[in-house]
Amino acid sequence: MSECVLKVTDLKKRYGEVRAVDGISFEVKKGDVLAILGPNGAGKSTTVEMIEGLRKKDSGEIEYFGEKPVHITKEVKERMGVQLQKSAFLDNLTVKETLEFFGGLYKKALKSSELIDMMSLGEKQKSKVKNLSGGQLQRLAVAVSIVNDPDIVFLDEPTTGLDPQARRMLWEKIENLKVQGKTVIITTHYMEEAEVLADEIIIFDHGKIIARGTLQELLDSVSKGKYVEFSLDKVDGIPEELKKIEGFKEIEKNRYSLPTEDVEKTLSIIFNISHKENFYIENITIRKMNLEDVFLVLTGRSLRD
Amino acid sequence: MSKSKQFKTIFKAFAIESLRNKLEVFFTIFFPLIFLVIFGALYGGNTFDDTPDMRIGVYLTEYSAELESALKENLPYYVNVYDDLDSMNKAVKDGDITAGVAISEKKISILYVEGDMQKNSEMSMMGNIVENVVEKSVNNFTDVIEVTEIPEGIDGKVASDFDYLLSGIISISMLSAGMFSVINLFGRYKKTGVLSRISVTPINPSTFLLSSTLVRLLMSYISVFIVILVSFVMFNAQLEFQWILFIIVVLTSTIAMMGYGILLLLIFKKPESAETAGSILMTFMMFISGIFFPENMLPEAMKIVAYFFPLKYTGLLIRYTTGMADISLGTFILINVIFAVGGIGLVALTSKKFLSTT
Repeated sequence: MSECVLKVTDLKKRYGEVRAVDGISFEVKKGDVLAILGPNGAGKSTTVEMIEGLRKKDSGEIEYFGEKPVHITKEVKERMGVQLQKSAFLDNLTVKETLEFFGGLYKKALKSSELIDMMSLGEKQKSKVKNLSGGQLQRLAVAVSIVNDPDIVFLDEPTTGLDPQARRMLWEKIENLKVQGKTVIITTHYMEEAEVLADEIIIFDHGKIIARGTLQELLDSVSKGKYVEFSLDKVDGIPEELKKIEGFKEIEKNRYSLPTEDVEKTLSIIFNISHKENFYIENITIRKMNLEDVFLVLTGRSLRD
Repeated sequence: MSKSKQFKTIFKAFAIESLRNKLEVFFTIFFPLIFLVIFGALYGGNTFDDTPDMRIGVYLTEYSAELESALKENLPYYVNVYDDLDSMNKAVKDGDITAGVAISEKKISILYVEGDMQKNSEMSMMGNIVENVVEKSVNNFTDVIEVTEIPEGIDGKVASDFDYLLSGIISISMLSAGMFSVINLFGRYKKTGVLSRISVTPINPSTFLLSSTLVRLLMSYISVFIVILVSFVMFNAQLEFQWILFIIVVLTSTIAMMGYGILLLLIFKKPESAETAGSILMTFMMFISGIFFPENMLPEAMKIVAYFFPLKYTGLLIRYTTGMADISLGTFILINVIFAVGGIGLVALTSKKFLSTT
């Protein structure tokens, strides 16, 4: 049984009447990558910031590496790496100087050159922070988060605002952390990020955990099926018979979706209706369920709503 | 983790950051220098001496060698004597002389190119002086009482207008270095998230506070000493500093100005608003705190208002360390203690607030 490096019990935080975090409990085992997934305002960042010591908790317990300090201690911070949602550094320091600066604040620090290589920032090591692109800045933020060779790393929405290429590049770097055996906690509202990187996923909504498990467990908890998506050759009026099929949903203009556990049977029903009602089915896609669908089923809303 | 290693790390990083931040370097070092150059050009080396600084022309309608000699000897100006009125008038128009004085039997006329209010008043004063000299010479009067002006400063030192201004510019330099840098440090860095990023490291808040504010103090010292150096090299400043007292004053005043910056941040919350308020207050303080001209020129109400602003006291302390202000040692110590305790208290309390959890 792996060592539990973080255990959160009944954590609560209110802002006025709003329950930002409402009784959250979870634990993370050494070497695991945990993704905290949820829409904006779900309470992900507040939870993580309370664990990092940036926010005061109203109540609840946080156990770090088997100990329950009243407030986060310097010893815990020495073992913890943090990448905040807003990556802010001293603008006029270079990449190398920034890594050396943060390294100098810890007892143990990795060499800046090692981190620069690891995050592919070699060409930019002498560039000032203010001249970095969004992707480079995020890679620097991740590099800074591991400057102290931490046992546990918190990455708060590390790829928000990045283009797909920069995002994939950063995913590779985060996967490397996993290979190194680091415990990683990522908060994100990108389901792909959670699917690609996480061993375990927690879904937050309105300050509460609404689901938890591996990707497969979460998908299975909702349905073992797939989705058939299609368009019609006529856009004026959807045949009533189609609308009556359970789970039928218009996902965008002239694009419809049907959940199914038997694709052949569902396709046969759709084609029968099209023959009877005299229209054609176009652009049929059959896809597996994903986390977006899980969230949709659990909350009735999309992750990006 | 040794505190000294953290201290050195933060000091180095913030020093590099400050020296590379063009805005901060401008406000800390170049802004006071701009004042220095402007006022130095106007008042540099202007001491209370008897050297004439104006050249005038004289035309006598009825030539008298005695009168010419009396004018040359007694007027506090360089005097050119002209043989005819037209050539004197031309010299005035060409700017060879500041004014031309035509003296006939019962009339003295002064010709000059109209300028500003100060020039009009100088011309009026010159008319009186010329009239006095002419009357004495014509009536053959001799001086019974000789009046000699001996300007006497504190400790026997005589300060020039520029020396007075220099003490003001040094005060502004400290105000700028202390107030704006703290608004930048605790306001902007809090807003951008730099302080949050630093506070998740195992940093000791007091180490952070000490090292980051020490950088600001260092910048203040650099600024003050550049101002002094330029003053002595370019503008012939005559101030004699009591260096130990002066260094203490720079320290306590910069700390007090930091506290003042913090106060603005607490009131205005947003660093941009605090910065704007700081700029407005700085301009206001410069005019009411006896920085560029003596306080006794101010209306009574403004003199009372000035008591509530630290720049007045900074100016006073600087002048004390250069022998230009007559305050007791007790008052000097008291102001420094209030500055240090108030400034440190405000900065310490607020830094805790800015680095703490929410």
